Amino acid sequence: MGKTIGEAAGFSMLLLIWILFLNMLKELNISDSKHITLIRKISLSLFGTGVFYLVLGGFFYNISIGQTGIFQYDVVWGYGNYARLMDKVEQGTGNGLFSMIYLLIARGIGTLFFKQYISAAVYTSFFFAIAFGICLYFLFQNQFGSQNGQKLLLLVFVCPFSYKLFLPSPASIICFLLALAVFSIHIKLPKVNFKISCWSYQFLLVILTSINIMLYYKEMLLRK
Amino acid sequence: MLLARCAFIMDWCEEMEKIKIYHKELMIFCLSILLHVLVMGIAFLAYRAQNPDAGYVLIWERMTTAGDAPHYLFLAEEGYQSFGEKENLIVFYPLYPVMIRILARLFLFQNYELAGIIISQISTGAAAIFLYKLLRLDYNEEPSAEAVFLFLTYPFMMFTMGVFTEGIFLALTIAALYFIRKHAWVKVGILGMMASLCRMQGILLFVPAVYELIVMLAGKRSDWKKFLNKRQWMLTIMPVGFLAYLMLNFIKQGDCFSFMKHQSAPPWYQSIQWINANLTKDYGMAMEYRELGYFIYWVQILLFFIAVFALLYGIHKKVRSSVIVYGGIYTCFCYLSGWLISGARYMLGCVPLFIIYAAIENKMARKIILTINAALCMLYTILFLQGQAIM
Repeated sequence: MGKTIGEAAGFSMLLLIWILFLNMLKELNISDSKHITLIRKISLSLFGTGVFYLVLGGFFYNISIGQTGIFQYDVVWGYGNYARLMDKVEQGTGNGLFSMIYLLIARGIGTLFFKQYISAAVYTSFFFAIAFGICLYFLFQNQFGSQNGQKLLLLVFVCPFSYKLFLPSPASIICFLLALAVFSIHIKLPKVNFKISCWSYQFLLVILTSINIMLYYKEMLLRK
Repeated sequence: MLLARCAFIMDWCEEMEKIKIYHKELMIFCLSILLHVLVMGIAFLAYRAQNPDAGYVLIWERMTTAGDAPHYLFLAEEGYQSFGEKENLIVFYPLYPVMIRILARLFLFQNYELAGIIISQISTGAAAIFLYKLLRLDYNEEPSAEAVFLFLTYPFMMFTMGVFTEGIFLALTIAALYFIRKHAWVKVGILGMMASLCRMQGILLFVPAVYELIVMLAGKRSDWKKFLNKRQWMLTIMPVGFLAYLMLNFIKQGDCFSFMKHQSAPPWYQSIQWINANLTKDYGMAMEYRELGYFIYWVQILLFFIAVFALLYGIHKKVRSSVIVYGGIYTCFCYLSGWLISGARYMLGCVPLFIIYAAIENKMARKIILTINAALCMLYTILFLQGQAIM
């Protein structure tokens, strides 16, 4: 419970700093006001999604071990090998280039946050996941229009394994760099008229969410 | 003779006109003193119901011996020490002890306790006046008056009455925020410098001042250098207070940062940690020391979340950004402290919370908050008189 309160406080402060930062950009006329409002909406939605995944992970783990509490801090925060590698520099930097980049950035952020390495790993994932979401939204918006952009973004963040974006893993940084690369190429692409019926979309949403949750549950069980 | 009398009457009328102009300010000042007397008086009566032998001297005693009060009095009387048991008192900033010393020696026959209390009382009155003036720049009379009441009945307002830095720090901070809004950069520079000589948090005023200046210059959409005049450059004197404090450390103990060494040692055990670690520790302490939890730890935890959500609400309600920026940086700074036990007291200095309160449009919500606040103020003042760990 104590760690949950602590992490909620840390996240709240980061959220406040982020919103203040966006507000500053708007007030100082550094960026277009409409863009800033849009970015604020997207980042808040994705932030909420991330928090939902974290809470859900702890809940799943608790079910698997027969506990009643809703949140198991250590399991979700200490997810995977990356969290373990975070504060042990001598144990290496993971298996590949992206792992190395992720750990380097997360360790840097950890140092900035007074050596709170495990939390910094989650902060790093959140940061890149949100950056990925913003990038993807503008990509979809330019390509398929505003409404379709929103729909597709939602699909991406409920698709199988999307929970990994918010946990300590290089998934978010890989996705962000990929989206950025596509975004740079995409400018030259022609616009595509894309229509999906309401029924098909809802069906797709339900199926993808179910698979995603099933995989997440399985992963949390395996950690037992 | 008649002419002389007429001149006297004319002068008197002019004086009365001046008083009329400032009647609101005078009223707020008197209200501040009155509320102090009332709250402490009622709390004392409640205390006496339990302890019939208690005399009025108890109030004086608590105001001059609780918390850091004896340290400030020692510094006012003896000054900073280079060696010995009291050398660690260099962790306290010099403005308040110096003011006590000057007032006590020049006017109060070396009554340091009285000097400390007078400074605190006058400063709190001044803080309330500037808060009202600041609020009236953006809000109507009713929410502004309510916000001043909220400020004066903050549950830990007893620290603005006694020998503590709260009063003077609040007066300097709120006056600086007011002049930041008025773009009176020379006054901001001087007040900011004094605030940074009063408490570590004083230096944070530099951020909203610079932010407000940038917003102003950005609004003019022109060359910054052209607009940066001598008055605006006065903002750079704000950190001078802190630099003077570092110099004091060097002169007295041969190290500019010797205060940090003392802060990390007993009885302060200070360190800097990210908020998550600090609040996790607070929760642990609240569980371990259940009674203290209600005075210190739970209050700190609760106030943090209230502050963050209030600031987010303030952004939503379009409260002036420089004010929100100050609120954010002040809250973050306070909660970075690795051994925080006075968080509730420090949060009285988070002035933006009172401004955001005035931005609440729902009258009923405002009144509920004010009532709860006043009730808690009474409760904590009684506990303070009882000698509980209200820090």
